[in-house]
Amino acid sequence: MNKGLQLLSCIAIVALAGCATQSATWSSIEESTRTVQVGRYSVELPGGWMQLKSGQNDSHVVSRDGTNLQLIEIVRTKPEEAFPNLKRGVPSSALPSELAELQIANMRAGQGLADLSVVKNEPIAIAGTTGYSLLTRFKNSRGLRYERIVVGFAEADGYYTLSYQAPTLYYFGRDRATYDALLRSLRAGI
Amino acid sequence: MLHRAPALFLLTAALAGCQSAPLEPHARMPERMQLSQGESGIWRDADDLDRRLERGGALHMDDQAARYVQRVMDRLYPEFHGRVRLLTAPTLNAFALPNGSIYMHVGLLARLENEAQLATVLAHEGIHFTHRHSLQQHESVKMTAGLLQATFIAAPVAGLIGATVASPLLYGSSRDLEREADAFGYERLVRAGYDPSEAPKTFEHLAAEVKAHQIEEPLIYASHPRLAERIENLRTAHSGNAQGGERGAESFLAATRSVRLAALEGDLARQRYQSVILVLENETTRGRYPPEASYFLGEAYRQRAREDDAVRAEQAYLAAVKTAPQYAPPYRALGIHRMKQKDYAGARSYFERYLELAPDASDRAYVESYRTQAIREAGK
Repeated sequence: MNKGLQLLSCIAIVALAGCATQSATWSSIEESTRTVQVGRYSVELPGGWMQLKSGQNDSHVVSRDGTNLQLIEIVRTKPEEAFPNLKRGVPSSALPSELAELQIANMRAGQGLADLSVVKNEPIAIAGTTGYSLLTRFKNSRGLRYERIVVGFAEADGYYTLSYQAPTLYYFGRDRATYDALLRSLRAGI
Repeated sequence: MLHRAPALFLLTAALAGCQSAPLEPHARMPERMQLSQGESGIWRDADDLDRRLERGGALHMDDQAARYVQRVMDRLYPEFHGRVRLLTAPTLNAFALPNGSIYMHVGLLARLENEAQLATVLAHEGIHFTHRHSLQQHESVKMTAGLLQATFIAAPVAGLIGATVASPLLYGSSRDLEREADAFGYERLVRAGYDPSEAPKTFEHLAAEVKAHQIEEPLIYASHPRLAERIENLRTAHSGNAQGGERGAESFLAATRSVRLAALEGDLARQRYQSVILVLENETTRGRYPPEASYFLGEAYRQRAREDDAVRAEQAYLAAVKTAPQYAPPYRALGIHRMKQKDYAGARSYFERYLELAPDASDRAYVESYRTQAIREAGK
């Protein structure tokens, strides 16, 4: 093999390797794959839905009909990277209402959520700790109205959020119970 | 009394006009039928943005402030009947659309000191419309979501002194057109009988904001006249003119009272604590705010969270309790502060006072849970 061909082969292998590590694929959530780990928590994903496998253990994205129609995300981030749009982390000894305040500001500072309104903001007991529960409304770039719930809490090993969003019309109400069941399944102690 | 406009200032604007092949300015609000196809299209896009801003809940609904600002606009441009609207955003921004709609963020309105400074902003934005800058600069303007983005959440200072998004509707991409708007806006200001010595101060507020947010001005505003240059131009313009004209401080402060608190709330909701500290640490500007503003200063210190900011925050909350004892939020803030200090008895007392004063508060569930926690911890 001449040197030019060797070089091309190397470039092709590197490029393919890059694709392999960055690509994400959707797969059906089976009974055997329902329980997933996020940090020191476990949570049960809805059976029969689809999961986006990205290779990142601390982020789970699930949907049934497509992310525009319903989207559940379970994410753990490093405490110091909790609010990237504000370039801020979790303040020391932050109370749930203070985390909610930062979460709202972080969402407002993100792309396309300029008209975000907070419908409900209250504390929530979840998996043995106390967090916040936010219900928000916003319009996407095409003017379609959405609702989003974000439940969040901070632990020493990370900032956790479990969110659900769907179009206000029909979908949000239809799949809300599935999200609530997912929240109830969250367990600590790993 | 018509002041003499300095030759250098107008020469700059005239040269700017030559470079960009100026169109004949509107002498009055044109009939839409008279517009060229291209200009008509730009106007329709602007109409669309008007509707989107209105439907999106972006307008600040304070009739008193809105009517007042409109009166100032009508005084500056009596022949146009251009419409000015206030936007809820706390950032320092104002912009004109090609169809004559002018928007001003409450953040900018709240920062001004008097009617003459407000007139400086409106006169500047009005020139962008009358001199058809959008058409001069871009014949084929397309509305983009980027404009909305810039309007609400982009850099804390944009539009009036340049946008971070290259949208021609913000007239933000040409130094020359900004200079022209400054120069002819200054003429309008003087002609309407306002004190032109206030004009450079308007831009000084913007310069202070840039500094507070540590914005790299040359980076963001590379295509715009630097603030220092614009302030100097306006000072030079004024130096050759006689003193006089109306400032209108009292009427301005009375009409915009609610706007100032709304801007503080908006700043804190977006974690823009630098702006709140800039305004409220300064005794002169602090005097324009009601007693409860001390609470907002305390919240800004809490959000900033530098060394000793917890102490500064507590002092500010206590000042608010002292000067506005029926205002509930400082009690909640003091309760949280005391809880973090592990003074659970003190925390409980403040939480209970908060709940007494604000029984229907939207955060009642949080405060009740904190109160329960304080009682539990105190009993250990």
